Amino acid sequence: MLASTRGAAARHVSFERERGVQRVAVSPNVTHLTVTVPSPDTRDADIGRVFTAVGEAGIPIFLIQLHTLAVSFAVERQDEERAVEAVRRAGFACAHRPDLAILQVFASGMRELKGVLVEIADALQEAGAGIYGMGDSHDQVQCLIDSAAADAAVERLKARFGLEDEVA
Amino acid sequence: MPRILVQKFGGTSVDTPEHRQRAVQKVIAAKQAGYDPVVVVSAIGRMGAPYATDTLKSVLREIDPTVTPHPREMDVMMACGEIISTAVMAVTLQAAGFPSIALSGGQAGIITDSNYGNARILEVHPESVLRAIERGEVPVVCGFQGVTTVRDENQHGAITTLGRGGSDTTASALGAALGAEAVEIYTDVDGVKTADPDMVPNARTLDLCTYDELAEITHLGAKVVHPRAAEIAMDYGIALWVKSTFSDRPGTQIVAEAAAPEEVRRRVTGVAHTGRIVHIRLHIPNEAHKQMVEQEVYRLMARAGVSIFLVTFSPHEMAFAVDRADYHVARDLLDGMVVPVATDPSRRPASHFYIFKFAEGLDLAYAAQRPLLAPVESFIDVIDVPGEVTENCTMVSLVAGRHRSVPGIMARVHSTLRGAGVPILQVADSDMSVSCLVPETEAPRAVRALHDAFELGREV
Repeated sequence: MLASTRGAAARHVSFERERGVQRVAVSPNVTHLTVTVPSPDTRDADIGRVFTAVGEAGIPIFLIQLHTLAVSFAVERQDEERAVEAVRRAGFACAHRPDLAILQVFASGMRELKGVLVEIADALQEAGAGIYGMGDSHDQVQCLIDSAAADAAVERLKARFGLEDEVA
Repeated sequence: MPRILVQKFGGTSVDTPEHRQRAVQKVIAAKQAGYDPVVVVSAIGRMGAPYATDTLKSVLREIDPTVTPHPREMDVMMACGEIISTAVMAVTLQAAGFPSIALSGGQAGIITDSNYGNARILEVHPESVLRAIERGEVPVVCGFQGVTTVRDENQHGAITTLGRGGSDTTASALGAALGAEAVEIYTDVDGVKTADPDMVPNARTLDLCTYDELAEITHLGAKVVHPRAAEIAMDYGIALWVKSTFSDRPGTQIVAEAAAPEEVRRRVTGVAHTGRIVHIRLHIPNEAHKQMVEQEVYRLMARAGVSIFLVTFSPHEMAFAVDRADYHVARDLLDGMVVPVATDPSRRPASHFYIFKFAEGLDLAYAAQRPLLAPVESFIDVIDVPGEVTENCTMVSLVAGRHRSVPGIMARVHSTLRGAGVPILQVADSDMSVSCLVPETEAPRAVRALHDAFELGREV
């Protein structure tokens, strides 16, 4: 702190955050569901029925993706059985992949960073972690990956982004 | 101790004598309320105006279209816009009877790295600003610019610009350095809106908004305050306001999540849209090789500086979106691209060649490349990767901080858009938002429908 003559003080500190990736975290216990819809003619209505079914069952869904004849999303492990049941009761075939984790890569100004995705994808491939879903917000990219590969993925990501000293 | 208030005025707040008078009234009001205002200004006007940043850039670019101006000289040129604006604003204040002093970014102590065009503020040494306040003057500081540190021997005191949102960032950084009571960002709308008022006439101004909500809204297309400015305000606990130069409404206060009431934290904040997107789908027939082929696509796009988003993972398909401005680069790179895949690299370097093919008329490189692969087809599988392109898309997003703990949000979004007859080409979500890719022509309808469905026009 530097004092001025009238008592005002100027703070000499670092201001803007470092750009680039700053932190990596993992949230386990996630299941990925892929719900097949039967026909392109009824696809949109069917996908709406799937969303309604899980919504009415009181289950939050995330990392949602639309496919040609399917919709996929993630649920918390604790909601897995109820979600599968709700979807099947609505009349749809459903495959589910348990034991997944959400990998979160935090960065400042994500949209303005070029090449983060390729670094993440490379690191996950090196770690043998398949990606089942992805989402991004202003400060993070989230990837749905195998829980078994999560530790290796974090290690690889930290090495790539120079975060070896960071504690997860 | 002086009660410092940083007031930042954007380009449209200082572009005419009448608008500058409105800005001066805000400064006078701050003084009358007992504050010592510190004014930060952007360049006068927006694109096309004589001193606007884009106009100044074009002066250098037009000298010789074959020569790309060095970023250092470009920064010197771009900084002129704010210098002119600062002098004009300082003299306008003097004419109104208020002693004031114009300060460049460097004179105000804004020290940056030497990343020209997108410099990062490292330190702020605002003694000259404080001295001006002590003399009873209103400091008028150039936004968007700084100088490199004098300790950097190679870039001693060079003028830099801060990139997108630079003037907002200057205001926040000065506010933090001066221990300001608040930073007010003045613009031509009276705060953070629940939607673009051009699309939704009953869009409401939020009284309160968290830093994360603001950052997410901006990330998804709304042009309010740059997230860099919000980050600094958040990190240093500075009260941040978004207000209109042209009204006396209170505006929107930006607060930390911990300071926001529960009903704010649980709500749907607004509907944002970001336009001019192209959606690309690539069919990769062999699931076992898909990840390797995808990696090459990511790498190619990254090397070309093309940002991709809305990435979708299916067993036989990869899909992603690019800004329309990047589409031709992306398509030219992908058309005819060959990705070699080795199932057993110890035996031979490649067992499969994947070659990218778009629809007829968009496949010029493919048409030329494909016959060249014929001689290797006896020992390497050559596999087409058909690509489908949907041009003219827009991403419409519902910003909702805790939607992942609320069941049924996606069902409501989906049924609302279907009910409005808006096709949904893809969806994506993060912990802060749910986004839908829709045809660009449907964007206004989609934004209005979601705004109505989530009752965002209703007073709370």
